[in-house]
Amino acid sequence: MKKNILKTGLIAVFVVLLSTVTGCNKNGENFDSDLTISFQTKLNGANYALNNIYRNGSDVDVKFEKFQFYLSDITFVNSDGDERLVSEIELFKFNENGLAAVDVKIPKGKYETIKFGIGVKKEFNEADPANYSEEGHPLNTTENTYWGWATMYRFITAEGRYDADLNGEFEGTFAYHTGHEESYRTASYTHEIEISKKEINFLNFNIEMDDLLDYSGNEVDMVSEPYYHGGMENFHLSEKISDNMVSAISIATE
Amino acid sequence: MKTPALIGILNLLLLAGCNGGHSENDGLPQTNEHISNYEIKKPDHFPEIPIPEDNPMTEKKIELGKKLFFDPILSSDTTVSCASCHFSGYAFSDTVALSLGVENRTGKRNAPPLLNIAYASSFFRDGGAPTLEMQLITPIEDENEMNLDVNDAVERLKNNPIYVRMFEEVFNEPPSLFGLTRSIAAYERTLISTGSKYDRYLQTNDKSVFSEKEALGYELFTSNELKCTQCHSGFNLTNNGFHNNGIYADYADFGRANLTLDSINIGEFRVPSLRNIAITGPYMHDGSFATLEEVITHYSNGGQKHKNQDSLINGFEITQTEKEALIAFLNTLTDSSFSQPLNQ
Repeated sequence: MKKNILKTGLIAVFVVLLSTVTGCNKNGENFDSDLTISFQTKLNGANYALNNIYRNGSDVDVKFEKFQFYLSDITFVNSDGDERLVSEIELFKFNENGLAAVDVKIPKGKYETIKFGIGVKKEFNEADPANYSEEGHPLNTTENTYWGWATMYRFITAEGRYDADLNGEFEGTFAYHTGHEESYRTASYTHEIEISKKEINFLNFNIEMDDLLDYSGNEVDMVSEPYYHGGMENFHLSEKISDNMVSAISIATE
Repeated sequence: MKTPALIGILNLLLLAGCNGGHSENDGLPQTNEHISNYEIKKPDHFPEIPIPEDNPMTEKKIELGKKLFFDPILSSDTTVSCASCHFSGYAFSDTVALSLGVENRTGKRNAPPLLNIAYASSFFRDGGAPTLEMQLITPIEDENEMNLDVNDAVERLKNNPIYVRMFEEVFNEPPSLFGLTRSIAAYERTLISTGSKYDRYLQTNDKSVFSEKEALGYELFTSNELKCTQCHSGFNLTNNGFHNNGIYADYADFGRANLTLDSINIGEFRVPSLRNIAITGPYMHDGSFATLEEVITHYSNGGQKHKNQDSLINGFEITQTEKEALIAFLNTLTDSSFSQPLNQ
């Protein structure tokens, strides 16, 4: 008799823990569906591969050679307004084809809004990077995104070369490393997406690279101001690029 | 289902994360010595030394930190160590305005003395790092200082059997960035200077420890006319604040404004401790004043009138005799027992 009571009790505890530990939210949903979030660099709607040359609005030939950025608090919102935080921090590093992707887990269901912060949120940006020593952690110093003094993490890294004379020689380099809490931006996108448990789900974003540095009315003059790497001087470049980033991102609908 | 199997499944469920994303506590390293077994000696007129919870003071950790502090293994060409710019014989400061890093590259600011650094609330001349542990990454990576990626520094240490053994003893793991920063910070917290003539005065409240000249200097130092103690106050002779002391009309180095991004902070730098000040020149954030006499002359002249210049810097009358007396008092802040060359 006592044995049966003990067994029943343990099973009850098991059921309670099963629902609370794996549920992760009040609705008892499991973060057990696979979702790949990707970004593709674009130029006037067509795919843009890094190292390809384009002419910007100031008649300067430009080619990006390195591009990456952090997203914080990637969150999906369903029709009831319930939020599902799928990741607190991710680093999107673009390959030569201009594609960057990360895999996350999310509860199955229908979602209507996706939102995130562009950059490293304050809580992480002010933290000691030595605490993120797990291999593959986006904030690990092996990612070479931590400067330390003043700026802490580099939110957006955009580097490349330019040819202002249009003589085919890319005489200039540019390197913009945005940072500081003041460069953190939030973005929200209305988009219906149904996540199923049986297959890998995809959410694809585009980034118009011309908008990143040459968004109308908020252009970066890379010839006169080719660098930003923290600090107060030229901080307007960090602000411009951070603002432009919000404008440059859109959800891929094709 | 057997009970052990049930418990096993429960454990697995408890270990499972909620999602595939990353969070704050991923991969937090564990230390082998959680409890401090090392007490920093300090006199009663010094406050308790703040020790971070994730970095308890232990003898082996301090020994490791000291070895790393003096070892040029942390620079790209293995020629520069922390001690190359923070000389133990000069209260862990440098003797030149701007220190030389690898390949004789010139730094951008004067290397500050490390004495009593355990009491600082932020680090660098502009307060650009919130903890001693986090501060350590920058000089190792700065191209004008040690010029070594901290990840490469850790790899070097992993290939050094002596360091591998020492890290295992302290942190129960191979060399890591966590261990590197914790151990050097722990060592630097032991650099406590308390043995000056001024300390004897603080302990006894007996002004007779000063010579007549030094006593005059002390009176001037604490006077309302000179206002030195408005910023150089407390046991450590600093208010830990940031001020523009008007050494330039136009600052090339924006100082604190690089953090706040606010132009009202241009030219603000940390108020340094005056302890051991006689042996920690050149002075100011860029080492632009070679002697204490130049510093006093600057303040008596009222600064260069930068728009952010602190209102306390408005000049004062001082005779040559008084100037010498003030310097005589500042010399009483030297702790000769602290400022001895150390061999590693």
